[in-house]
Amino acid sequence: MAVGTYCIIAKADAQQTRSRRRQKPTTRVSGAVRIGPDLTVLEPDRSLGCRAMATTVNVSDVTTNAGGGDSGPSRTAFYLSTNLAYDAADKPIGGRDIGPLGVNRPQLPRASATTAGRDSGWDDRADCITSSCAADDATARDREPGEPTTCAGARRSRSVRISVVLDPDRAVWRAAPVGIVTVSDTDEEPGGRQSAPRHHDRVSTCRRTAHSTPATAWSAAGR
Amino acid sequence: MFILAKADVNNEVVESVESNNVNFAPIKIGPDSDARPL
Repeated sequence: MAVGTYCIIAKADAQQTRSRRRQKPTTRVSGAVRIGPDLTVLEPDRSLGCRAMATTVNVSDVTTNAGGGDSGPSRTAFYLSTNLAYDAADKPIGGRDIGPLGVNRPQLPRASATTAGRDSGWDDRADCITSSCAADDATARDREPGEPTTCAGARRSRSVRISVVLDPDRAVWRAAPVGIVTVSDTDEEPGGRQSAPRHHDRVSTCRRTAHSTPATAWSAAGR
Repeated sequence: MFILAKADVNNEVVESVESNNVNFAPIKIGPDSDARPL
């Protein structure tokens, strides 16, 4: 069917098998139906790796023309959102241009998007807890080219791929601004190698999500 | 947090279905967003 706008007509007794008193009023017309392109995005995918604030995350998408006609050029954009529905408050973080697509023709190239920085309003926490890890010398190895430094606090020329996972319970933190806060964390070794059994985690207080030299002394150290 | 991918973001193409242009993937943003919930 050619691309265009059509009406759908429903016709009763199409084969005229019934003899009726009035033959004419057997059709009804629907609203306009447009036959044409229909651009859709399959579930976007994002690469594994460092996804901290203000860093780059690779996003791939498949934009497909699932409609009945060819589509012209378009653009697919990426947003950060707090929910599954797009709205004007979602933060644009990147996108890519899509060329003309034939019927059922996908376009798959990767695109890169940058997560919002800490000044974007996504992270307005006044207080937070970050964690740093420092490996024993025996566990350290040279960082491979292009490998993200997943251990944010290791201020040394060599680092290990120990990803410190720390998502403290803010309610607990708020409830006890002074005193001992018990924090637990999980370490991951995303590099496919088992990390050395001995390493050292530190927990500090700070006022930013990114680890930096703490303004206050270490509130707790180590395991 | 979610990453939304929106096709035809500038509405350059007159489509047969205009309302299905968005899809999503979950993503975690944080101090170290490879995080698993504690």
